[in-house]
Amino acid sequence: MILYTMMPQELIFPEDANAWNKIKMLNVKGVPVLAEQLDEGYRITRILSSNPFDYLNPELAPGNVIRHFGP
Amino acid sequence: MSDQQPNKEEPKEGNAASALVEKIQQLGQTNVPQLGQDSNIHCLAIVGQIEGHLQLPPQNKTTKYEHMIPQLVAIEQNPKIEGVLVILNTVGGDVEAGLAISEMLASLSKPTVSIVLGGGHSIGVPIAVSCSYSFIAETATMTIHPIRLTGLVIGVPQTFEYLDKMQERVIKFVTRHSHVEEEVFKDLMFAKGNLTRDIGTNIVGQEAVQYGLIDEVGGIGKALGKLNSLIEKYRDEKGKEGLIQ
Repeated sequence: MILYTMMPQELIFPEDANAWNKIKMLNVKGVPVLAEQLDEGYRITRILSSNPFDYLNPELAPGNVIRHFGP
Repeated sequence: MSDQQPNKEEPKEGNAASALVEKIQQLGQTNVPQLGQDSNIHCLAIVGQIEGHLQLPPQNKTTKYEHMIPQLVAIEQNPKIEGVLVILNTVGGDVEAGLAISEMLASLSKPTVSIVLGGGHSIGVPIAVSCSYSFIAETATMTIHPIRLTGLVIGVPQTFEYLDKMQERVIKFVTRHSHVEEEVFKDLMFAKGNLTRDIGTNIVGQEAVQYGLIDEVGGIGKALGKLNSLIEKYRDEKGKEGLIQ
């Protein structure tokens, strides 16, 4: 199906609200990350820190599942 | 930077030993990951779309200004952070949010260096020029085009005037923070025949330097080198101020 329209995609195909709720901003050991909620724990999708060394921490690598988090 | 690293870590060694004993006592193990590493240069990656007042659907990769601004405040506040490297690969986005980030970067008292990798289009242009010194990769591009909403027809003249004012803000900011002349920038913005179905210009690497928009062509090595030399200069100036007082 091809739709020829100038309307933005999200206006024609609205996102389901669940997609929003799944992605959460967490604070893992003082580092802000975006994580996707799984049945058990969270999978890190993106690191939001400005400290370049946080990106070298294997614990915070994107794709990692974290079960316990906190400062 | 590498020369200074050992000096910085020396005083920590005493603490590290006692922390190790503490860890063994508390957790019964020593291999707790070392956290709290500090870098004197912080890095801000501006990727995807710059998200402003409207939240984009989750499949979009965005840079949110409500994330960026507190980070910039923290960078300004933290005495351990001496410089900021801004890495741009953005398609543009919200004008107000982009200008907010640009103004924050421009008013930061610490040295800032920006580097455009891939693309720094649209509202990415003011962000790139807002830093103390700017770099562009040889293959990176920047699209300069007038401000617009969607393809919708503008209903009332006031809307046009509002957009015109907004555009003036972008032009003023860019000409104030880079070496590009207002006339040249406007010519690039309203040029015909360069972009398909739009007016504007797409400038690549070296061209951006020729127009005076960006300071130098270079990559990460050059950018970090420049940032370190700016930090040195900043330290010297600060040291002199201290002596006078």
